Formats: sequence, C-alpha cells, structure tokens
Amino acid sequence: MGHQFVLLISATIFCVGAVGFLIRKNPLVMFMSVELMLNSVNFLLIGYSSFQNSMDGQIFALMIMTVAAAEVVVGLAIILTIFRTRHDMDVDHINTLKG
Amino acid sequence: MLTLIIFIPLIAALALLFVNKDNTGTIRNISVGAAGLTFLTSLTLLSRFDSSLQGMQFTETLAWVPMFRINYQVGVDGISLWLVILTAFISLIAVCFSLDRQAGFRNFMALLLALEAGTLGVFMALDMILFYVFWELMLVPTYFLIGIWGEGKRVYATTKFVLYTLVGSLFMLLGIIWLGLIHFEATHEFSFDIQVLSHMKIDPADQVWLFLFFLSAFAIKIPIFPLHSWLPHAYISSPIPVLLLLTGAMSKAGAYGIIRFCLPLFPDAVDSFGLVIAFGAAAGIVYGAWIAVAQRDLKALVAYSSISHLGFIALGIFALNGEGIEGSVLQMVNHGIIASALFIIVGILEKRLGSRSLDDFRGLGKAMPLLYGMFMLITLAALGLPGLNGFVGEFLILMGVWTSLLLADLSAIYVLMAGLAIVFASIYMLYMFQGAMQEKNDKIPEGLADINSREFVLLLPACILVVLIGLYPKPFIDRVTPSVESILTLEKTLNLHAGEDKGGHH
Amino acid sequence: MSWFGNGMSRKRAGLIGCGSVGLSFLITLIALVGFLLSEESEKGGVSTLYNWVTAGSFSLNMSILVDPLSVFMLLIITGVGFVIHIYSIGYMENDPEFSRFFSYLNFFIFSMSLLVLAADFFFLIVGWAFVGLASYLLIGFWKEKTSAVLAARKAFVMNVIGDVGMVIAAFIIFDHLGTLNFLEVFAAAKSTFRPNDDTILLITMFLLVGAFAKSAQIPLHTWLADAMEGPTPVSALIHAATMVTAGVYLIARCHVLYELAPFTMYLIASVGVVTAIFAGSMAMVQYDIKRVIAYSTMSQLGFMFLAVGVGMYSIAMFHLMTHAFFKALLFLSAGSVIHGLNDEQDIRKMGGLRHSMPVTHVTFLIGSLALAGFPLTSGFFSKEAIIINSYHADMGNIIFWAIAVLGAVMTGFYIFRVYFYVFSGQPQTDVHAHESPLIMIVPLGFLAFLSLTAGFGGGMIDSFLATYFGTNMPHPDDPILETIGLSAGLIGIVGAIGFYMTGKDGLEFAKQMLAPLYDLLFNKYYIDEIYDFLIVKPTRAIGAFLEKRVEKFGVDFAVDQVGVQTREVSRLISFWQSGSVRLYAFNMIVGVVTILMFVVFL
Repeated sequence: MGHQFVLLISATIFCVGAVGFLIRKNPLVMFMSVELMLNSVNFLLIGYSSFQNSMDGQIFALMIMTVAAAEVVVGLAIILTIFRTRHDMDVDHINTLKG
Repeated sequence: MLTLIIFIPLIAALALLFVNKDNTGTIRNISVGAAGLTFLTSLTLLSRFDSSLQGMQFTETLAWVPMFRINYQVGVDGISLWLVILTAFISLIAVCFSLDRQAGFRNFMALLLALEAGTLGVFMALDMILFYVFWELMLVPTYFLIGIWGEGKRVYATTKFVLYTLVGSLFMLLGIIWLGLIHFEATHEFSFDIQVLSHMKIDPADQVWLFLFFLSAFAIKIPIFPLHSWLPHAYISSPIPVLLLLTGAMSKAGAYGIIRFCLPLFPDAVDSFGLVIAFGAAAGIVYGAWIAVAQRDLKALVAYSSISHLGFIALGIFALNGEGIEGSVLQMVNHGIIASALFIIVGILEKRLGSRSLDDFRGLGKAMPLLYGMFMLITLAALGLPGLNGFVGEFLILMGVWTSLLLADLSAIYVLMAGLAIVFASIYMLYMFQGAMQEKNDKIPEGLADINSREFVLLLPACILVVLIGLYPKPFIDRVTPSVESILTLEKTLNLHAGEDKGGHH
Repeated sequence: MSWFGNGMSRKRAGLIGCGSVGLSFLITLIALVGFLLSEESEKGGVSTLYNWVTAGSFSLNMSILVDPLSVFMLLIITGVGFVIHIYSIGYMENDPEFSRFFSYLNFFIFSMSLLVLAADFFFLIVGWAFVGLASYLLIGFWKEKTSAVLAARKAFVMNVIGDVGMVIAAFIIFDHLGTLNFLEVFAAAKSTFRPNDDTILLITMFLLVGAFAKSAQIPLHTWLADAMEGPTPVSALIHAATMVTAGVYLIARCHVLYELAPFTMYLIASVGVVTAIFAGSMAMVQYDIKRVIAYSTMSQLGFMFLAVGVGMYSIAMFHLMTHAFFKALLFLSAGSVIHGLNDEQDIRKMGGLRHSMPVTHVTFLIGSLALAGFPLTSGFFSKEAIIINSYHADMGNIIFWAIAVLGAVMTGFYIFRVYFYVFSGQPQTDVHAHESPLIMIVPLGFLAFLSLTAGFGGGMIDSFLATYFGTNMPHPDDPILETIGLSAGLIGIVGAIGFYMTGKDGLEFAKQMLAPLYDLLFNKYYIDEIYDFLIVKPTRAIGAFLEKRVEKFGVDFAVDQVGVQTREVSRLISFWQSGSVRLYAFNMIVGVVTILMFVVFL
C-alpha cells in the first residue's frame, strides 16, 4: 500500500538518477542526476517518517538537503574552474588523473 | 660498554653532517677516531670476556616500549663477541682505506660509519624488535653507498640488493610479531627478549612457518644458493670500502641470525628442513667456485669465490654439532679477514693500473715485491692451505658435516662437493695470483710503485691473523664453545620435552 | 729471508741456509744414536707441544712422534738436504734471487720434517700441504718464465686433489675411531675392522689418492715431468729424494691400516708396477736430460710402491734411501753438466764430456750404475730385494715379478742411453764445457760414495725398522729368479751400448720402423692432452656456461622477473585508473549493489 508506493517511487527515481549519472556526458546534467538520487532518498525518509509518526526522518532529510547544497556549491565551483580553462563540456575528456 | 660501541660510530656519523664538506682534515679525524675508538673498545670486551660462562655477558637493558615489553637490550656471548670485534676491525680498515676519496667524502664517511653502527647493533641486540631495527639500519646506508659511489650498473645493483633483502626482512618481521603473539598467548605478556623466547615451546606446525619466515631473511643475506643472485651485482658495483663491510660483516649477520634464532627456537623445523638447506649451501659452494674458475675480472672472481666460502659457513651451521657450528663461527671470522684483504688487494691493483681484468695484469710481481708476498699469503689462505686459517675452518666444518646426525644421509656427498670446490679454489686463486703477479710483462707503466706504508699497514693485520689463527686457533674457539654448546643443548632439550630423543651427541 | 732477500750478501744467505739444515742433520744423528743405544722397548715416543684446538668432540694436540721410521726419514731428509744445500750455493751463484731460493729450500726441509714427525693425521696433512706449497714455490722459482709458472700451478692443483683425498680419509677415521692420533688409530684399527671391511677400504683408498698425487703415480703423475722447470737442485731434493717419497712414507706409516685392506695393497702394487714400466718406457725416448731422470724417478717410485704393495715395507724404505742417494746424485750431476754447458739440457747437443768434465763423468757413471742395479752398488741390493720379493712375498705373484724385471731392463737402457749421449763420442756443441767448481763437486762425491756403499747397510736398516714394522724382511733363496733379476739391469745396459754403437743411421732406421710407438712414448702417451680434453676444457666451459646461462637466464632471471612481472601486473591494473569520472561512478554503483546483495541474501 503506502509503503510499497513510497519504496517504489523512491527506487525508481534513484535508478533514474543513477542511470542518468552514468550515461550523460554533460557535467551539469550529471549533477542534476545526483540531486535526483539525493531527493529520492529524501522522499523515502519523509515517507517513512510519516508512516512511523516520528520526526527523525524529516530532520535527517533536512540534513541531507543541507549537505547537498554544500556539495553542489563545491562541485559547481570545481566545474566552473575546469571548464573556464578548457571550454569543453565533456566529462570524458578530463582524464589527467589517468594512472 | 656495548651501547658505547654501537653509538660511537652513529654519533660520529651524525656529527660529520655538521662539518663543512670541504674540511677534509676534520672529517678524516672524526671518522678515523670514531672507528678506532670503537675498535679499541671492542678489544676491551675481549679482554674482559669470561670464556667459561655460557650466557650473555656485558648486558645492558633499557625499557623502550613498555606496553609491549620491548626493551633496548644488548649483550654478547662467545659467538657474537668475535663478530663484533671483526666488524669493528673491518670498519676501521674500511675507513682508513677510503681516506683519499674525493667526491662526496663527508657523506661517504658518515654513511660508512652508520653502516658500521647498524652492523654492530645486529650482532649485539638481544631483543627481537631491536634486532630488526638494526637489521634495517644496515640496509639504508648501503643503498646510498652503492648507489652513489658505486660503479657499473650501480643503481640497478643496489635496488636489487635492497629490495631482495627487504622482502626477506619483511617476512622476518612477520615472524617476530607472530613469535611475540605466541608468547602472549602462552603467558599473557608480551616479550621480545631472545633469551626468554628461546625457552618457549612452539607447536611444530607453527615452527615450520616461523622458521621459513626467519630463514628467508637470513638465507638471502648470507646468501645461500639459490637466493644469491643479488650478490654478484652488488659486489661488483660496490666501492671497495663498502664491499669490505658488506662481505666481511654484513654477510655474517645472516649466518649469525640462523644460529641465534632459528636453531634454538625452531628445532623441529630445523630437523625437517636442514638437509635441504644444507644441499643449497653445498650447491652454492660448488657453484660459486665453478663460476669463479671462468672469470677474468678480479672483483667478480673474488665475489664468486665469496659465494663459495659463505656456502661453507652455511653448511657448517646445519651440521648441528659442535665441530660444525664452531667451525662455522671460526670461518666467519676467517672469511671476514681473508675476503677483505683480497678486496683491498684488488682495490690497490685497480688504483695503480686502472683496470681489473686479468688480461691487463701480468708480471706485476717484479715491480711490487712487497705486495707479491702479501698477495701470495692471502691467496694461500683463501684456497684453504693447511696451516693457515681458512683450512682450520673448512676442516672443522667438513668434519662436522661428515659426522653430523642431521645430514647423515647425504653428508658424504656434501663433503665431496666441498672437496671439489676446494680443488677449484686452488685453480682460480692461483690463476688470479699468478696471472697478476707472475710471468713477464714488458708493458708495465713506468714508475709503478709498490704498496706504500699506508696500504701495507692495512694489509698487515690480515696477514698476521691469517697465520696466527691457522697455527693456534685455540683461543678463538675456546670462547665460542660454551655459547655454541648452550644453543645445541637448547635445541635438544626442547626436543626432549616433546618426547623425542634426538640426542646421541656430546 | 725472502723479504730481506736482496739485501743480504750471498755468503751469508748461503751460510744461514746450509747452516740450519746442517744443524738439523746433526740433531737427527744424535737422535739416531740415542735410538741405537736404547733398549728395544724404549724406542719411539710422542711428545706433545701444545693443545691446538678443542671443538665439539674433536680435540687435537700439536705433537711430534719420534720413532724409527720418522728418524729414518728425517736422516735422509736432513742429510741429503744438507748436501744439496751446499751444492746449490755453487749452482745458483749467478742467480739474482739467491736468498729467496734458500729461504724456500729451508721452508721445504721444515715442511718435510713436519710431515714425517707428525704424530697424527691432521699435522701430517698440514705438513703434506706445506710440502706441496714448497714444491709450488720452488718449481715456479723463475717466475718470469711462463712455462715454469704453469708447471707450478699444475703441480699445486694436483697436490690439492691429494690433500682433499687425505682430508676425507681423516674424516672417516675420526668418524669411526674418534681420534686422529697415529698410535691410537693404529691400536684401535686392529680391533675395530675386519680385513677388507668397506670402511677400511675407503680409508686406505682415500689416503692413496694423496699418496699417488704426491708420488706422481698414475693417474696423478703429469705434474712431475713439468716440474723439471725448477732449478736442478730443486729437482734433486724434492722430486727425487724426499717429497715424492712422502707417498711411500705414508703407506709405510699406516701399514697397520693397509694390512687390514689387502685389496688396496694389491691395487698399490699393481699401480706401482704399471707406473714403473709406463714411466720407464717414456724415459727411453726423451731428449731432455732432466726429463729422463724425472721419469726414472716416477719409475723407481713405482718400484717402491710395488714393495709396499706386497708388504715389504722396510725393503721399500731401503730402496727409498738408496734411491735418494743415487737419484740426487744423478740430478746433481746432470745439473753440473747443465751448468757447465750454460744451461743446455738437450742431450743431443751434448757429447764427449768425458774428457772435459771428468769428475762429473765418474759421478754420473756411478749414479747410472746404481740406478740400473749393477752388482754391488746400493741400487743393486735394494732393487734386487724388491724384484725377488715381488714374487716370493705372501702377496706377490709372477706377473708382478715379470713386469718388474721388464722395468729393470728399461731402467738400464734409458739411463745408459743418456750416459752415452752425454759423455761419449764427440761434442755436439761449441760451448766449451768446464768442470764445475769444488763446492758442487764435493757433494757429488759424497753422494757417489753413498751410492756405492749404502747397499751393504741393508740388513742394518731392516733390523732398525723392524721394531716399527713388526717383522724382519726375509730374503728368499731362489737362484733362477735371482739370476734373471740380476741380469735384467745388465741386459738393459748392453742394449744401450748396442743401440748407441749402431750409429746415427741405425737410430734413424729404428725410429722410422717404430714410428707410431715412438710417437706415443715421446708424447707421454698423450695423457696431458687427454686430461686437457676431458677435464680442463670442460671445467672452464661449464664455468662459463654457469655464468652465462644459468646465472643470467636462470637464477638471476627469475629474480628479475619477479620485479618485471610485478610491474606488468601494475600496468594492467592501472588501466582501471582511466581518469574517467563515469567509470569511477560505475565502479561505485557496482560496489554498492554487490554489498547490498551480500546484506540481503546472507
């Protein structure tokens, strides 16, 4: 019923986000996929918090959002710096860390 | 006292780093002073050593890591006494030999002294972790010494040497820690003290692994065939003073390790593997000698002959009787003296003539009569002429092997192999000596000087000792005997407690 | 002395050199007298000098054994040695390294004395090796000559082979009897071993390796001929009178052991007698005067080994003594000839020296007669005894006898061939030969005297040594065989006369007829070449092979491969580090999924 619904949607969105991360080449889109994954988890947490009548889930979801925001800031800054020098929006071409 | 011996060279090495690079006078004074002082102190050890006691003497203990009961503990007994003196002696000679080095003099001396300190520490350490620390400490200066001041493919040689030895050392570290844990399980206390651990009973299955771990480090160091392939490269690339220490002292550390650790701690494993390892040693004796027969480069010839002689030492240990082990210890000292003298002679020749190949040497005896005499004496000692020290060691070792219980099945074959190598030794040694010193040569450069007084003084102790030990080895062996006997007893009593009687010996 | 060498005046060096040996000789004489005067039971004694080493169960004292056998040997060593030292003062007078020669010569006398005085096997081996060293030093004395240097090395290496054999024998003895002391070993051996026991056979055979190497018997004989590169006094002292007899001494000393191993005795006798004719045949065709005498030594040693092989120890020692006299005499006379002709050694270039060197002529003749066993010379008595006993002794047989007779014939032939070449006929060279100085003549005369008279002392020697050997040697009465044996030498001499008288054409003719045989003999049966082919070359080749192939491509290769393969694996793994973010992300997801599976299903 409600549980399955929440679980299903959360899993679906997570998979969409994961696949999107793996398939897309544009870093901004990859970021959006990461946000999708995070939000799917948020969804799950909030859903279960309502099922269990406890505040824990929502509070943790807020924490996740905070962390996501911070991480996005850092990530976008990195992307901006990289692409300012390269003018290339393809993630596959950043392979200077190649071993 | 012992701590003094170890740390004088180390402190001197550190002190040297503060001296200005160009201040050769001070560098010379400090290095020779430190080496000399160490040697003199080691001689006082000799005079105060009580040869009737079986245990360690001159011990010093200092708590280091109390939590694991790791102590700074040093001591000497009959076996290590001579090795300590030998190391100090060879270091002194090495220092004096390198006094005219130009490039990087200060650093060279500092590293040489550090190497001496490490080697001395190995022979004196009574705590296993301390032993390991000094074992590694031997390695680091060698890496730089060969890599920077060596010749030929020196970086390759030194890297190979260090990595090869390190692999063994790492296994040994595993073994040490495991031993500590075994002790902990038995007594709920850590201890890394060798003397305490020697009295522990270790499960035979564990013994096998522990023995192999420790052996890997020691067998690579001595080296025992077939773990010897680092030796030709390292010896040929190494500068002579380093080579003196390398072959004279460091190689003995491996043999010493086997006697000190493997024999008392892992008797069952020694019984199982002794025959095979002895075969490796015997094979090394023949192998080294045979390759030496075909060499034309003097340094390579002596290097391969060292493999052969060190094989003797290893073989003697695994005879597991009084004659064998005492012969082995004596031979350690002998080989230290003989090999270092030989390499000094090679170094002198190379300095004079700029080459090391027998093709370029000939008829030098006419111009260098003094060197001729000393060279002949050392050559004869190296090939084991009865009456000189090499023979005494070889005789005792082979006697031990022949009458050994452990090696009973193959002892005759081992002795015959050794006999073959002795014949080869006479061939290549005479080939070397005669090729260089005899026959006529019209192309000797003008003004080829005989050895000067400094070189004479460096070679003289070797010549004297060679004859002295050959004619009267008793004082040397007497001091070794009690310690060897205690180790052998340990080895047997552990077996007795396990219910097996491996006795039948004195 | 060798270090202060050049600084010392000739006279002083000569004085010190000879003086020390003379002193030893005197002391030996005193000991001899002491022996002769003392009671039977007091003969012989061991005195311990100091404890040498105690290791494990092995304890060794440095001690000396003084008994009839050792005194006997010592007399010969110091006596003949003394004579040769005096001779050398004259012979080596032009040599720049005069003092070094005497120091080495003295060292030799010391070593040989140590060898015969040793009270146990260990110091016997030490003395044995020292003697080998002295031989090496003296053969290679003229170290500028390549041939001398190589000859010295050959001698030394063969000696080491002998050393190793003896050391192994010592091990076996110690293992079974727990001691290396002669007296103890001999006492224990009788009770421990049955005759022809495997162990005793091994012991005796290994000791034999040492004896054969030292005394140049087949197959370890090739060094002796080359050893003639050394100065002639060296050849006289070492390779005729003393060092090479060490092998015979060894067997005589250990006769207790050998009596327990009859098989080995048979072997000794066989090898001895074969060597005798082997060497004799080679001596018949050599042109170098010293080589002929060298092969003669080998042959005579064969006779001595034959004697010990059939159990006739004191006869062997008797022959040892007479041989020392006349062989040293021959060598020294030859040296006199060589010296007189300015270092010429080829007999084809000599001739007619009968007139220019009369004293040498007489001494050489006496030596030759003694060697050939001409009646009433010392050689006659000793060789006679050996030949007779080779049949009549308990272990002798007719074949030994026959071969021994053949050897005696050859002996007469080859030595007189040389005699005729050198002393008769016309001088073949323009060098004006002069007689040698007095200092060389006197020793010659002395030795000649001994060669003539020592034969009559046979009985005395026999009884002197009997206390050691336990029995007196019988002299069997067998007229037929005695006559044949007697005439053997004479036949050889006659043969030489006839051979020489036929003149040059006849010689050429004979040579062509027997060409193949001649080649074989002249080239020493090609044994040197065989050894070179079978032993020397393969050894070198294997050594090089071991280095190039086994070391480079085997052991070392394996070690290097460890490093190389590790790097390869690293390289392969490093492909994973592509730098691609997406790949990393993919890895992460795979990892998470795997963990989840584990958590869910386990």
